[in-house]
Amino acid sequence: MKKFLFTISFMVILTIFFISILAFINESSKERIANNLEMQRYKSILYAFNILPDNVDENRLPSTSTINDIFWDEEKIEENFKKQIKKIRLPITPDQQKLLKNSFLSWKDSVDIFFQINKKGEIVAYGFPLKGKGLWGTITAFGVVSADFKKMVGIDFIEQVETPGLGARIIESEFKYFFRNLDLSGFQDKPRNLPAVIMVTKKNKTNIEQSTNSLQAITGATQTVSGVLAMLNSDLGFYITVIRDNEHIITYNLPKVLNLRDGYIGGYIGD
Amino acid sequence: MTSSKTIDVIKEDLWKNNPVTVQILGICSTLAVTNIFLNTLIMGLGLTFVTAFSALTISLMRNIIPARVRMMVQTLIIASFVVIVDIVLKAQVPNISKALGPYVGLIITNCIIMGRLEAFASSNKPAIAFLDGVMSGIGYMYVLLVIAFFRELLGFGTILGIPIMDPLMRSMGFADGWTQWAFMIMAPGGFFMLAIFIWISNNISMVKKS
Repeated sequence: MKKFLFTISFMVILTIFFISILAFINESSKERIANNLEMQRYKSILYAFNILPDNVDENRLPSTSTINDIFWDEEKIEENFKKQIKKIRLPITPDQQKLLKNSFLSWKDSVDIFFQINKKGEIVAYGFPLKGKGLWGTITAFGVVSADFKKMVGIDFIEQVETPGLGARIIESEFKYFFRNLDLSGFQDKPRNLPAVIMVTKKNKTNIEQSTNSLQAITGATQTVSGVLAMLNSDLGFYITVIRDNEHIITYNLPKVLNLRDGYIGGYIGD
Repeated sequence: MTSSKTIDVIKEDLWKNNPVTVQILGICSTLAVTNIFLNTLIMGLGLTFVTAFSALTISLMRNIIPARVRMMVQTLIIASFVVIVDIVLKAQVPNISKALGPYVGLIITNCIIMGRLEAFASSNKPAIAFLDGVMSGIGYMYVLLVIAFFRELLGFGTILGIPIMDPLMRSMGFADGWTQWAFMIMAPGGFFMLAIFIWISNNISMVKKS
């Protein structure tokens, strides 16, 4: 009995001891980790909006580079984000809900839309979160389309747990560069049974050189890339519909949004 | 800690009883992370840290741990050190933490750590147990780094993300540059390279013996 009690007490004390150490380390680095995550998110959103540091030429980045390889001062990230990117929450109507089958937005009654404004205060692009299924788990991305919804401005993959070296290569600039100037006309006039964006094995020209509705696939990552494609073809069409249907709300609220110091209406980034 | 015992531990962990090439432990991560050199290096350092400090802790407590819960205690200690590694990476090098993804957490399941705690640390003094942990980690890390070097070089044509093969091939007159070996990036490429490494190391051992 004495031995049994000792064993139980030993385990309890040891567990409390190690949990206390972990709790202390976690508590002391919690703020820093949260700040790192927020900066990472700002950086991803700016990248998708094609807002890069002055000294960075995307064309000259190595094909395997990721957003982490772009050095950007934290203050500059925050400054650029708050100056150029604004956010508004738009309602989802029951009719629009019908478009949301199997989407991560399917049970929501509103959606957050980010937009970029130029020096004249005009909207030049819209951005929104995207979610899809990869091989191993959920892929979370941030996609941006031009204000006329004809071209894609860019994309960045915020969270993914795909196989390093294979599916995880979606975060590399070589793959993401094909999203710049991607033709989205398929979302305006396509027959519903055809995908608006397709994937091809090899592209000789980027979409900036010759705009098409195709992206270049990654060897050995068929399921990941298929997941990305499915995510685009379902979520992009929905967002374009919601933004179009609510353009009057955006126009009405624009002066108010521009006058806000942090530029958000109806919620905060990342919520 | 006698010098002959120290040398024995170093020899055993690095070569004679190498956790990867002789004991065939930690193969999951060997195949999974070795297609990118930097990920492999961080993974190796993380595992070395966890093995060394878990071994030290277990050795310090070896006389008071009740025998019937020793595995639970070992798992608790390993998991605690892995969580510390994970938090430190997230706070200090978020980019690398993101690149490694779930593999840091999976250090907990690496058989090398539990194997060394059970076979060595639980019956040896703290200093030599710590050294054994460090050397087991290094023994695992250098094998992975050699494999990762060739996999990244042939698969991506780069080392640490720096293009090597493409400029090399072009300078040798091959206008198309380097064609990436997709096979090397995939898991079968890891099996292939690991088999070659084990084959070469076993041959060297046999030559030495004879």
